[in-house]
Amino acid sequence: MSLMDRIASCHRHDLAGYLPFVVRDMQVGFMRRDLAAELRRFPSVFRVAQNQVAVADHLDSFDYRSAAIDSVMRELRQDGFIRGWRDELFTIAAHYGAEPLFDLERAGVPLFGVKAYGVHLNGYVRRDGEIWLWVGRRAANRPIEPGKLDHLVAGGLPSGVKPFDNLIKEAAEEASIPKELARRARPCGALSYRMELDGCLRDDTIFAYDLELPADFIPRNHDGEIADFRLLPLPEVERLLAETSDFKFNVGLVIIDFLIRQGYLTPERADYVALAMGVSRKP
Amino acid sequence: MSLLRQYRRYTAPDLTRYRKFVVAGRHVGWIKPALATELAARHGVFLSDEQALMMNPALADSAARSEAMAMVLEGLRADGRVPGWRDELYPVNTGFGEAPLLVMERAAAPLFGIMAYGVNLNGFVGRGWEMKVWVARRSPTKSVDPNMLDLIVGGGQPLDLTPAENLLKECREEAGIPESIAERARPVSIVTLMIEAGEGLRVGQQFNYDLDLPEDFRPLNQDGEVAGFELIPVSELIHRLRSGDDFMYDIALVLIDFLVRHGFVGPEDVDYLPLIAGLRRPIPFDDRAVAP
Repeated sequence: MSLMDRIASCHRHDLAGYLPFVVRDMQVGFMRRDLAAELRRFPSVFRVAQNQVAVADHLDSFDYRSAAIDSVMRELRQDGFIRGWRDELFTIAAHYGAEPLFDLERAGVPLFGVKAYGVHLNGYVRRDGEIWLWVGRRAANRPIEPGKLDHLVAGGLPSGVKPFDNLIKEAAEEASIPKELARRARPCGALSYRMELDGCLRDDTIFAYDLELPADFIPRNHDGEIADFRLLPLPEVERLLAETSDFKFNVGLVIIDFLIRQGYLTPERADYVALAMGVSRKP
Repeated sequence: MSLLRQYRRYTAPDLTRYRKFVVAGRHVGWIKPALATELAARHGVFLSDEQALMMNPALADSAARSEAMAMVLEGLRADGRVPGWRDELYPVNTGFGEAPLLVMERAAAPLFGIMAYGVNLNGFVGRGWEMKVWVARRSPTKSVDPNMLDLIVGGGQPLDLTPAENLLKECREEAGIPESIAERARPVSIVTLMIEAGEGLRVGQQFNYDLDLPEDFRPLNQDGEVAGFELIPVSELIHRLRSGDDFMYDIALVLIDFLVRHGFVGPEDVDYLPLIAGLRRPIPFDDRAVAP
């Protein structure tokens, strides 16, 4: 295994397994075929054809679409088709910043294969000029990737919340980073990937932030989502990424970008260009 | 105005208007049909069809191909068709560090649309919005982009140096940055570019470095390629990139990458994702082996 494998796994997918999901003639997702089959039961909301699934045209506003799709989602939840209900809405649009088309319960995001956004924080300290990265271990009861290593702070971007505001909120909940400290985090890029996970297509973009923390800062988790934290020197982070699958599936992508930007990985490495191009790869 | 204006300075090249340049079965560049047709008459060196100009497979190794190419380029040079001749050899390949399929004069790289590698330095002082970035005004006698704004240090990547070694050399020659300071520079990113420029296609991949310079440092050009230096506040830098074309095209990319990495442009900018997507576009070499 290698760092390149971590990047490649974030881009592994076969679109043949999915149907284009269309709103107002714009493709906004890649829908699982079993969901498409279920949605035939709701012809007033979804038009299911051989080659695509579209939201019915008479649902001609954000509110109509959101309400109609929400009622379908709740029915599918009752039937047991949708599990892991989060009671958290994600705004669906053709691309970031585009006109919002509808709000979707987060548990439905992977089933519809719609674009989702998140924030990740590279929280680090400097010791004798060397960078150490704070890493969390996901709680054993998390529905996705339990027990895997994760960023100090990471979270999905709910509807109507700005990335930076979400970062501040997650920083408090996940790692008890005080607001004044969290506000020093600065954006440092965005990483997009499209991969299949548990039979769903994830089409995600992560807004990455860096935050240099005081040497004596100790994170504490508040929301039960992280089991514990550890502070790792970069060579150990690199080893874990290159030799194990200990990190959550998308965290390696963000950390490899961090390792490049911090000058830890250098052009003298044979795979430097492949890594630098790889983290920037468009889905 | 959006920073995206920098990406709109050149329209994306229409590659169907070029023929592939193929060496040892590998697609390594793009050449204009008129030049390809002309060179195809040089039977010992090139073979040609509607899609591609190929180096003759009888030229079996890098040394033979390099020698044949040098002869062809001397002819073009004598006709005044290789402006800005440098007497510097560039490797021809499709990935940095790969063994060169041949080496050829740097100034001819756009004629064949081959990948040119380079190094850039973002030299700055201060932190946060107090940060100022050193930029250089190019000498009016430069063959490429005279008088335009450039980074404090940047240069093509020669064959016999590593990028880090090359950066130290360019730091000394272009801005008089002593090695004791220059060696603190750290590699931070790459950018790629592909634009139509005069005689052909400029295809590039550049290694970028950041260097936090001492407040009292003053750059001093040693090689006559710079007319002067300026220390620009980062807010002014953003303004200039948003409103004008003062900077060389590739340098504008490097600076946008700098602004993104340092958080001066963030997700609040509606163009954030397209800005990032434009920094490292893959160069569309055709990976499938092309028959010689």
